[in-house]
Amino acid sequence: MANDPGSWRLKPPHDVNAQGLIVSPFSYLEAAHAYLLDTSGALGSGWLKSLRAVLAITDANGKDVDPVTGKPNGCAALAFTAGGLSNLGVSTEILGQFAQPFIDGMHEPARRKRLADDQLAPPGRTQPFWGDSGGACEHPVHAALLLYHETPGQLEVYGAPGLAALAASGVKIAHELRLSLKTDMSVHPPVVRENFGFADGISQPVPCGDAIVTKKGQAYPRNPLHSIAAGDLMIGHVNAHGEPAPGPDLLANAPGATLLPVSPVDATKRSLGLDGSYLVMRELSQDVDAFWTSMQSAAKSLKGRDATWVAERVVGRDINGVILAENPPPGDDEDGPGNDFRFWDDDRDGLHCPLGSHIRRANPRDGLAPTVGTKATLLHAVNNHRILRRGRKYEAYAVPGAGEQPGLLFLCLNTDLERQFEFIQQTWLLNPSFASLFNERDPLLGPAGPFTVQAEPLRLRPAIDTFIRFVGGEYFYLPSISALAYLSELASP
Amino acid sequence: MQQTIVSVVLPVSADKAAALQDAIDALRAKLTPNPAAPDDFVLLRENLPTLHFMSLLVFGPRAGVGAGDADVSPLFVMEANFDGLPGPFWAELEAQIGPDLRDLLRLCAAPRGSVDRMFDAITAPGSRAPIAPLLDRQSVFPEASHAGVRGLGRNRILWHNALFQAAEAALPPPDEVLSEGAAAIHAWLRARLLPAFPWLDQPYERPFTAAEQTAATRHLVLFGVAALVVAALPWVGLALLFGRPHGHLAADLATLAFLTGAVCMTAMTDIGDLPTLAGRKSMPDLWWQVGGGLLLLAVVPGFLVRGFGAWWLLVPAGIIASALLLVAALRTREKRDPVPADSVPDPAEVLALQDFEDVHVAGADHMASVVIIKGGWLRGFILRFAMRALYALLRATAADGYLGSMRTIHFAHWGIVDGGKRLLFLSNFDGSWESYLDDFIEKAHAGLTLAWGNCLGFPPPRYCALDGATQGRKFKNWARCSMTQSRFWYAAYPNLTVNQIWRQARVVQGLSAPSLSAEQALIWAKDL
Repeated sequence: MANDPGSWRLKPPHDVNAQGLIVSPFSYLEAAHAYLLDTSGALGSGWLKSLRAVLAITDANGKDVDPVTGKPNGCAALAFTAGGLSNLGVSTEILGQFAQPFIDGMHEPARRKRLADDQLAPPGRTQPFWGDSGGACEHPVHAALLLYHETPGQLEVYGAPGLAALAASGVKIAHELRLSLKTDMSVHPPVVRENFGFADGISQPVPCGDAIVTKKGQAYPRNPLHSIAAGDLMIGHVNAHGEPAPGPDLLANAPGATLLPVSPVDATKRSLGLDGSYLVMRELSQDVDAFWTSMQSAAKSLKGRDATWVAERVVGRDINGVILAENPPPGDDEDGPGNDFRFWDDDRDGLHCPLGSHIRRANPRDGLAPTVGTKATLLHAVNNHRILRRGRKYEAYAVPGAGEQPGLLFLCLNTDLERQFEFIQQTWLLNPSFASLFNERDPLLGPAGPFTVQAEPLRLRPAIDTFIRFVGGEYFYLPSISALAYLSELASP
Repeated sequence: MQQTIVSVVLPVSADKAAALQDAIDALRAKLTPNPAAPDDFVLLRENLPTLHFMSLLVFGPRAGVGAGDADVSPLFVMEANFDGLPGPFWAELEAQIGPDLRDLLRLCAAPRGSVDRMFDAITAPGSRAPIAPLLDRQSVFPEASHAGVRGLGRNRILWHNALFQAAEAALPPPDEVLSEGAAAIHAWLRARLLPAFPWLDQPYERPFTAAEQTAATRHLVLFGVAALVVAALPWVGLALLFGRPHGHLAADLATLAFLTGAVCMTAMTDIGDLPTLAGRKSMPDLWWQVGGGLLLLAVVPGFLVRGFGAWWLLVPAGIIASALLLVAALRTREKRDPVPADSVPDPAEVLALQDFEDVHVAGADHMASVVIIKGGWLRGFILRFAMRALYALLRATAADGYLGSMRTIHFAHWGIVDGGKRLLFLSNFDGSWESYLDDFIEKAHAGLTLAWGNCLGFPPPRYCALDGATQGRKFKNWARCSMTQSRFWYAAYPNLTVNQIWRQARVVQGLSAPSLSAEQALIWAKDL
């Protein structure tokens, strides 16, 4: 259930207001394409209006199917950087109401320091390949258009009118990535693998709140392991700090404000934020050969182990996504590998799933509790820092100066970039002192270094190389459908 | 081992604050001469072997959230956390950077108005008068403090780390020793390390001795008893003064006290306006139960006192009545307080603060904050009482570095400055500022609200310890507004977290033993 994105949905009117990407990764659509747009040559909202005239941005009101054939329609998501909103004509006053990390952008120096992005850059590249900050990035990006369909052929047909509208309006495609799922049907249940071969995207938080219901429309039950506040996913809903997740509001008499819903915090205002979210996008290249070479050489230093054994410790799950545990929880056909496990009771010392493995760092569950009495508190605390992932792998292409590699277009949704995405990156994944560890970072994502694999009587500590690099990325705002309508009607800046 | 947590605080006139900051910056540059290691305070590191953390700070004229038009002067703060007592430390510090400190003091204002002989003598041109007495006199000792590395001397931490790293380097590839068992690994490693670390042969000295524990426990118990006595005294005193000890006055007083307390309490509960927040229990039911229970209780002591003539029953009755009245009085003030406008930090100032954060990849960070205490005797009393209680509790219970479920603080303290008007908070902690504040919000919000809830601009608390800091975003913004840049901040072991310091201490403790049993060795080996 936790990893079945279809198990929850939004209540009206949020279901027709939120973008579909919030409730679904569209995993029933195998083909996808990410277009990163440079709108500096098309100031104003004209391009957005002409794009939306030929391409509807998908809402969250269930699967879109063709009424005649019964086959699924294509889906689209659209998000903007701070510079992108400014190019559209959003005033500085409204822009100032967005979250500071979004306004600053991912490449602001203090953020780069915090995210360790300089250490994760591809060797041979001194500046990010793309991002919003003019000058700091090779390709300025102001908006992201994500398109999904069943096959590459259908995707092309589906996207063509939109791309033509963009081209006609003077919007340039600064960068693009061909995304894929390549669901592996050879195992049961089928899994989606990232480029190294591991089943990916298994553990997802489930939002809980007034707007969230089950498929059948009933209140969604709370689950201490997977539930997060709906406001940690969508602006305007109650977040983990007990207040509506903040977003921009407009005076009710502002031009175009009637297109927007009433603000959840101030009934005299209209909300540009409600049902929107912040979309973190990071292009992470994966050197598949280097990964397996590193696993092999690590295995060689540990007698009697093979590369797969090491790689599984690095990840924390086996290649098909089953948690490394004495008794892994059962999976099932619908949901895939079992995900209902905790660390404190089952594997406190990391003898099965190493303390520093990727999945343990990315979501420590109750494993950081110092005592049995604090398990629940720590699990609750950890769930204030969850993100909803929407990423897909991309096909190899040549990054100038950094070689030709496939990778992961990491996408995640959250409303508090500092407390959620950045916290995970800094305090868990790349923290050299995570849990009781010293001087080592995430073995999968982090820079080269030692990786402790707990064992009795003595831990193993192979050296792990670097094979994932941060190519480019940015913080985007994923507006609601009504906000898109408002943005389309903005007067020229 | 005794450790000192202290701040020296002096006022600064508004026109000198910028010059003082410049002088501190210049001193920092002078003390960190190596461009390749811009955070290495060579002189302090080499010549002050007892110093753990030190900061020199200027809080500007707007220091303190919600200052509004309030009359606050800039402050100079020198924070020092060191082993041993202040006297010898000030002397050592003066020997190292005396002239520079004197120059800084010259940019401060005289602490007692225009006439302060000691200050004037020390800051006079060409003066050679020792500055240590002034440092001593201007020292603000914490109302509440926490030391996560309590009992572990600075040098001991560094020695432990050297040994930890040597052990790591000496260990053979795991497969060669795996078959031997942990006890054999222990014996092997100890034999290998003894020549280079002969002190391993000394018995391991516990950082926190049994005598210190006893003293801390005694302190806590005495504090508790004193608080209870003070709470009971008025009621018992009244009964003794005006009534016969066995008479009805005691009974009537007990009943009256309880009724008053209980009625106040029930009246003060916020039935109806308690928000039901995601993940939090709705409170009204609980408060109704508490209120109802108290009303019932109110009848009982009167009956008991009357029925049994046991005047001493007034003691528990009085304690509870005093506590209830105090809470009711505080709650009335809480409800009367205007809801503070949300603190909105200037993004540029936050970026400026961040320039001095996340400096050390692995370890410590610094936070320096000053806020204004709300007016009125009750607030001042509650604040002091809460912090003293917190301090007594921490001293007696937090021996292994944990503050509740978090172990990220090296040294942190609250001090009351500016003649009781402002509350200073200084902390040397592990990880990012965001994660530190999240720890507070998620794991220690009640304690924080108790202390900071009595300060201007803090997200509104209920009953001293509820709400407040749980309003995470507002709390973070408020905290950001109260901070000053940590431009001069020295950390003796910036890449060692509190967790790691205790981990390496456990490794040393094991290695100090000539041999370990198989079970002991297995536990010990987990830290290698």
